[in-house]
Amino acid sequence: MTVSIGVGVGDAVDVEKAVQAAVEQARAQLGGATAQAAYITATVDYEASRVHTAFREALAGVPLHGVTTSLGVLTAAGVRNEGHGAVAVMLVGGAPGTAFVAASTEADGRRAGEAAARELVREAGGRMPRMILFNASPGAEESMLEGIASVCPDVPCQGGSAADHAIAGQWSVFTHEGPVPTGVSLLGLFGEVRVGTALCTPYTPTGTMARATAAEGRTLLTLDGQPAAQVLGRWMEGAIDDQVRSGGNILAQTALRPIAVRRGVSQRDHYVTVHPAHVHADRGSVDVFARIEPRDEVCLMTGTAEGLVNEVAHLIDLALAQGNLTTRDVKGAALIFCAGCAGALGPRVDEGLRTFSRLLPGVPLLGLCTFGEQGYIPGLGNVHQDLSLSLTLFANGRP
Amino acid sequence: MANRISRITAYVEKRKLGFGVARLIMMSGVNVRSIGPNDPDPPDALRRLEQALPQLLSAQELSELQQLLSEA
Repeated sequence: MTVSIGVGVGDAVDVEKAVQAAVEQARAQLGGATAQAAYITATVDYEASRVHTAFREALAGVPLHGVTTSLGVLTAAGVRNEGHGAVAVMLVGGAPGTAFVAASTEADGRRAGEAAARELVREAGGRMPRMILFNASPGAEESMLEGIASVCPDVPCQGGSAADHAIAGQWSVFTHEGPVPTGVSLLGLFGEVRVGTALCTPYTPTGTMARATAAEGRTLLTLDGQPAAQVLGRWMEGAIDDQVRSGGNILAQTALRPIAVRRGVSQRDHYVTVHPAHVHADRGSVDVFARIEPRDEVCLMTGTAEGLVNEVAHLIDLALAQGNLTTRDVKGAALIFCAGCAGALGPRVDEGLRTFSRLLPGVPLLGLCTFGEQGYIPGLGNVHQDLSLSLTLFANGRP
Repeated sequence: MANRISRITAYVEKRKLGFGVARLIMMSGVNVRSIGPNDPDPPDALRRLEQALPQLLSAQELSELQQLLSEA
């Protein structure tokens, strides 16, 4: 079975023109193959409903899936956002039955994941997907992944969470029916399509750690019995003292010194990176972008901008190895780049992105900046974490 | 005369394109695109914006921006 991937980007001020340009570029790369599904994205500079309508009109009959991206659209040449935002599309072409989409807006995360996965399998006539591109609103990704796993056990999910620029809830999930502020959308690949996937971060543990002693969802209350904000404040050596005293956003200060939950995977550890977002001075609590459970071992991590740039090559190598692919096999790539990392890197993010031009020349790439990343870790299953890079490489089935 | 926030945004956009403005929004938490040039500067938003600028602009660019703002 062959798969064709076409990617296009548009950044005209007028949303219809931007979408039209993106679709034309993507169609030209499909080589005559019929589009079976479209993975769409846009920055929130454009109105989401108009983006969706424009894609529906330009891609009549093609199922739509996606989320909004923060900062811009990522390409192998660098970030695209010249001034008015950007839109992009990845078309998945191939024989009928190669790809389907499904979505759910159930309020409960697990039920939303289950419902979307059941719908995806039903669309495919009862077949299990080879892999799932997962995109959701921030907040309940872990539960959504659990729900999907209950329907599609051991199916890898790769993706990212919807994002805006201001972390103000202006993001959207693009379901086929329309954009929604809360929900999950899935694009499943079926048949003999081969994929290579990877999820990684450039951070290393510092050796500083504490036990989570109280947490409520994504709010960390205490570490080793002390207010989490005080403990984190000590770990950050003065960098967030103002916020510990008065409250406030700590995303920038913690982007290169995040925390992580250590998970044992057979003979090694996997660190589920978690981005501390906001300090509540009155409670001494810290809002985070991934779930931390009481008794979890929470570690302080460290990284550098250089490490982030270089992590892209590592990510590509991991995905090639995981899929047993050579660079010549790869027909397309979907990259998820943590928005916090991209924001911290600034213009240097282009250095990392140009790694794709070097290692996978000519391969169509769609890249998003997200508020949470998801991927498959052998031994752990599908995980949601922060400050990460997630990659899916698409290739034809073996002849 | 445009307000201070609009002039800061215009400078960042000229130097750093839309990506720079998006980073400014992310770092400050201020949606500068929603503030019109004739609106009064919200003091808290302006303070947060000015705090974020050193993460985005070089010392030379900051100096140039201060010069532009003071000339107005």
